[in-house]
Amino acid sequence: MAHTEQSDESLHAAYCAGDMAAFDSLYARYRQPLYLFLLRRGHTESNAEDIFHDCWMKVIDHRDRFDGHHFRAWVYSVARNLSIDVFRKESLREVSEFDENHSPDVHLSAQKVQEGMDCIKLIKSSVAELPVAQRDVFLLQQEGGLSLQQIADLMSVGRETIKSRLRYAMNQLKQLMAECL
Amino acid sequence: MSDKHDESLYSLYQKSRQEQPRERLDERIRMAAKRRLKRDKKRWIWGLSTAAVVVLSFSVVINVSDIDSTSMQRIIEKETMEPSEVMNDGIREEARVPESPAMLFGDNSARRIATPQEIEEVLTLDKVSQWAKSRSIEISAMRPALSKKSEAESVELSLVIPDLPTELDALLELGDSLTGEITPSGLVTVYAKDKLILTVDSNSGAHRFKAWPGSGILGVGLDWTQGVSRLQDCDNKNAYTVCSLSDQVRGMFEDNRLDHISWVVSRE
Repeated sequence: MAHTEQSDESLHAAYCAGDMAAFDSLYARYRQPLYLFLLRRGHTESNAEDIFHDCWMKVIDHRDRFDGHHFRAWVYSVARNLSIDVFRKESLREVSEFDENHSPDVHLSAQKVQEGMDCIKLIKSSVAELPVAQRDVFLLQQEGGLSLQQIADLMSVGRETIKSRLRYAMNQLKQLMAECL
Repeated sequence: MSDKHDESLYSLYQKSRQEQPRERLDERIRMAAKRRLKRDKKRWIWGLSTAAVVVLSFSVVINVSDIDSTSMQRIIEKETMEPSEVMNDGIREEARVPESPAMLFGDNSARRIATPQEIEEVLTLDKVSQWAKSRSIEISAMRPALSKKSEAESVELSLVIPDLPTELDALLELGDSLTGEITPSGLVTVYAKDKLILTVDSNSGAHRFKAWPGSGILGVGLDWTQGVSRLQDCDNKNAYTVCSLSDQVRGMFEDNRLDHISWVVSRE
């Protein structure tokens, strides 16, 4: 079977058995989304690259910690934990995980569009304005392609909570992006 | 708002997904993945050779079966013991680790290990470089595994000098007013007054030239915890990513971790 048709788990197993081409395929699948997940989570390019690198080092060196199921959920969990560590180390204040009533500045967004900011730039800055918990759910869904249940397991909260965070995130983004939709 | 808006939003978000990691980073990760496979292969081969050694040892044990079982038990115990439990003719003693600085001082209570600053005063990079140059010696510095606890600090470092003269006289030329001696275990020790600044273990195959924390002989000031991502001048060579840390010094990184540094003193 060609590598492109293989599951992440079988590619990972093939790499562990010595198949470098399997690693290349696995890496190609996650290269951009994983990096974007870190970047959109609020890291600088330089930090995002460092964490991205460290994440892959864990995939490479701590292969035994992967239980063989749901590689996708595992790798995003590793990346998210590393990212949280970096924020902690840098003592960066994150918006509270539970601040779901955080109100976006809709007027400011509208003003940005009127001043010529394009919608692509605006959506990036709008995602960055989401509270961390909502941003994580949005990004894990968009970049990670994880199901609500997988995100719930990864963040150790109930599925309904994740559903509600995603709804909040979408509502806030729609308000911020009103001029572009 | 409607699902239509959801779709527009998702579509806009997809269009915004343009950034990518740099190709150099891709290459580093691929190299690390390759190295890991190589290491695994080596381990496998090592496993086989270990098995061969075990078989060989077993034959030797059979052939020397006239050695009484108590003696053999002692040998096995000694091989597997912590240094602090080393046996001496069957009698358990307190810790005696030959290369432990504390054991080198003997009865001279005034002696102690030099502080990093004191080492730097005596063994500067310039002096060691000149010294090595005059002997056409190539030197490199190795960082042993750092414990996580102390990773933020420079810790014990070793210079590996393949052709290091083990003569005490030659080593005393490293700095002014140095004194030294050779311990019964073959360790050459060098002191500045009563402060131990280095040891040379002439017993090991590769001579190790050891200095204690933050040694100035490495010309550092070096951040041993730095990764490669912010360094510009790097190449992948064999198992390492090699980056210039200064005009003289190159850093060898493995998996984004500074493994050792080296500089070459050009031969005259």
